[in-house]
Amino acid sequence: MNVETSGLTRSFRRRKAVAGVDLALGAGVYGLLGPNGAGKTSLLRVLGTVIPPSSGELRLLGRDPAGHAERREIRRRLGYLPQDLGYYAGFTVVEFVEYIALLKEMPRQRVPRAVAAAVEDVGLGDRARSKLRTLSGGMLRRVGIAQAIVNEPELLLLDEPTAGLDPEQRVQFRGLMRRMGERATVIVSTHLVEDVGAACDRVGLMSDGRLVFTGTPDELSARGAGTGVGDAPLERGYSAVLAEIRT
Amino acid sequence: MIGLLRLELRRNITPFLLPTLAILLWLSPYGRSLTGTAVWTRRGEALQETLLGLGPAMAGAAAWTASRENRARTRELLATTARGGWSRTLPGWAATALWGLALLAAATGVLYGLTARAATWGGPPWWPVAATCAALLAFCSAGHAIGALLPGRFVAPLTAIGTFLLVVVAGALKTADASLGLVSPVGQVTDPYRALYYRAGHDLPVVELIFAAGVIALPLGLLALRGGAGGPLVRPAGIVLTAAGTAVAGTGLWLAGTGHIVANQGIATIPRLESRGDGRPIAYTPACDRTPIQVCVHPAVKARLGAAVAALHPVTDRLAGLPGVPTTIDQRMVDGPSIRGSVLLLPAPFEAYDTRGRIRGRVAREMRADTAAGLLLGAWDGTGSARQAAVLAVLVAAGDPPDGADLPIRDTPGPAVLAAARRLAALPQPAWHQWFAAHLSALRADRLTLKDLP
Amino acid sequence: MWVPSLRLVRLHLASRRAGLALVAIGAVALVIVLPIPRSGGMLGALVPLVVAMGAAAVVGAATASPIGEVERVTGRPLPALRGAAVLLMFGTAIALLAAAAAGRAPAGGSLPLLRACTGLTGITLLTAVAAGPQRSWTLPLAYTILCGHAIERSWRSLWFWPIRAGHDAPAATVAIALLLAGLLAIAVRGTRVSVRS
Repeated sequence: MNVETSGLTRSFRRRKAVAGVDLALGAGVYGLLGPNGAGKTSLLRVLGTVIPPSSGELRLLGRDPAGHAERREIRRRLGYLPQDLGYYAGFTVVEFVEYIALLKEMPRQRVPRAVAAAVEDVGLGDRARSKLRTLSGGMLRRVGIAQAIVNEPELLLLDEPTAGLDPEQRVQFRGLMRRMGERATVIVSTHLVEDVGAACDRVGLMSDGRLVFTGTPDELSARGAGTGVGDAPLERGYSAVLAEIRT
Repeated sequence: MIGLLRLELRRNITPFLLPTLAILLWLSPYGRSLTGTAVWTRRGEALQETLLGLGPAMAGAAAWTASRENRARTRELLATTARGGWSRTLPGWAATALWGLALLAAATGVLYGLTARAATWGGPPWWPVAATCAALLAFCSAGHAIGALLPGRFVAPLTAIGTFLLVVVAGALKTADASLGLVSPVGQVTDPYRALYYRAGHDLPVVELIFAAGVIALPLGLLALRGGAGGPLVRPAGIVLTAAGTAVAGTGLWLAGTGHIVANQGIATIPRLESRGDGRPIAYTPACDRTPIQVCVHPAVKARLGAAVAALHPVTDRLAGLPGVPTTIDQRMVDGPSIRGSVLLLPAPFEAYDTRGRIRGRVAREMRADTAAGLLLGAWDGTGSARQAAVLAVLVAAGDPPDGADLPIRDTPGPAVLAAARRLAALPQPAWHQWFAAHLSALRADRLTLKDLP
Repeated sequence: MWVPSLRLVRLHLASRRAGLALVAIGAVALVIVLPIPRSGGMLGALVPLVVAMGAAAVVGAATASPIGEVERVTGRPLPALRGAAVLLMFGTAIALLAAAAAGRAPAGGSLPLLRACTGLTGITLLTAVAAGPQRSWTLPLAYTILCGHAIERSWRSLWFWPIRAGHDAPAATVAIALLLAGLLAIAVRGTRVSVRS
């Protein structure tokens, strides 16, 4: 298992953003759905070792991230795309991805090829030498994806990765996620249920810091049959599960 | 680390500041020293004074680089990488410091290269170079730490301006003879021309170097003590660096506190560091011309000999061949004029050495007045109406204004003295020569009155 | 003429972090109170000028808009708001400097200090319009160093108005003209917005 959590919580003062999450994930693409403020980003930040959990057990890639040496090893094998991607406007696409690769302590001789491959994978090969300040919002998002996958991570955490991508790019990105999911654990937090339906093997639905549903996209769709609100089966399943929780 | 450093060097802000820094350099004493005589001690000091502009600019650039994660909102992303906060920030600091050092190396190369081509005595002083480099690194360290610890909109300008203010204040303290100010790399307390005559030692650059070394280490140590700085070794390293930096900077301050300026020799002495021979005279063979009254200068300012001879020519030409008048003028480090045998010892006119081309205006007039008084009277306290009139007559005959304003006396001479001087100056050359030949001894002994003058 | 409501002015000032800016100006003004030798030599004479430049730089940095283009397209209230915010901060800077210098003013009274703050604020604002608020401090800093050079060489040209005598009318005129030009530019055009923001 690449991700194992048990009773995981994370509090910000009195508010519990993650309120007891149990997960056991191996290779594959795991979609994380939920309304705004459900705790998806907080959970991803804990899994990304950005913030420590308040309580509960957490093992990533078979290691305990509480220890420095193990956390460092996890981070070498981790890819993370935050919801709000910061970037250095004066860096070129290649420089930014190279910078992250070097900070992830990739062997230097591997870096140029890995950077070129990551930039190609997100379809930015022709803009590789462009400064980030000259890119559109969607292109910047793709730069964010490139930096997340540059080290061929065993655990890839993506927070709203398709926000700002055009339909063609989203289709390509789903393909990339599926490829990554063949050998790594990909956790993708999104509001776009069609991404989940198209790319995810399993899906989790969060509400008020808890995982209120875990299953396959088909199982989630089935929950909405006849009762849910929405245009697509997954949307209906999503709204039905949330309605159940609220009542 | 090398890969990160190369990236940081490519994207550092300092190269964009290079045109501004080059202008600042040119406007600083660095640029001005290039237009003066090529004297090693003068040029070494000018190099240090460049920090008045360079220091704040580099501190600002370092703060700008260090506050980047906050400004660009990359902190969260970078926190998930394997490198801790400290090892992540060091390449940025190193890149700023390396650019600063490269600029300084280029500036030193140009300054010392030009000096090596034109200097006529001595060799390059390396202690000021070392002190300047250390101070530059200290500015980078302090700026980097401020930028990292207090990232925000105001941090880069406030760091640059605060550093500038600090440098100005420290320099003002140093020049105001406050001993703690001696740690400041900026502020002129020693005289580079006096250092040609007296062994100035290197107490001052050493204490500056010690203080700067502490300031380099201290901020970097503080950065290592922050949360998320890195692994188990980073915190102890931070404690060691912080403690060592504090101790070294404190030692520098303590040493400076024991220091003092030796005013008459223009040197700074730190008793605990006092290098052997500090303040002792330096032996040299003067450079002289071959005119009837030959003029000798320190070999380091040999390039100014021709200009000095030309400026003094109207006076030396008028007094050459008079019995009892010295046949040699030796400009050296003395308090006042005096005659030793046939040699007149005169205080070296540093202001005249510090210019290029002909010596003109006030500087030239004062040189002629000192020389005329020295040749006629030797050591003179400025008293005696007849003596005042005689010296003034030489100056009037040399074409200087007949108002006596440049005479080395306390008060301006009265109308009777001015009238007598004009009368004496108007004498034809043979009569002039004859009168001085007959009366020079009496004039020196102050036995003449204005009535005795023709 | 449209007059912005007090509430809008308060929100605008909050977006510029005016409170922090005023604290920074206060800290800079405190330097005047310190017993620093200000006579004898170029460095001593530079102290008040650097203090004035520091206050001006904070006013310049506080013109940065964190909202960028979103704010720029909101229309009519903005020029008046920008002008009012800068005037308020500049006025506070002058008041703080005058209070700090009262009784401790360097040779020539506090007039040169306030005049320097006035003119340098103008230069800072013009730099903010041309190069962006993040770089607004560069030109005033370079000019202050140039003034140090002028002090050293005893230059008294009007180009170096900050170092002329306290009651020098042409120097005061230049300073006020620079401030008005800066105010006008910042009100009409606003600071340069980077693509990033």
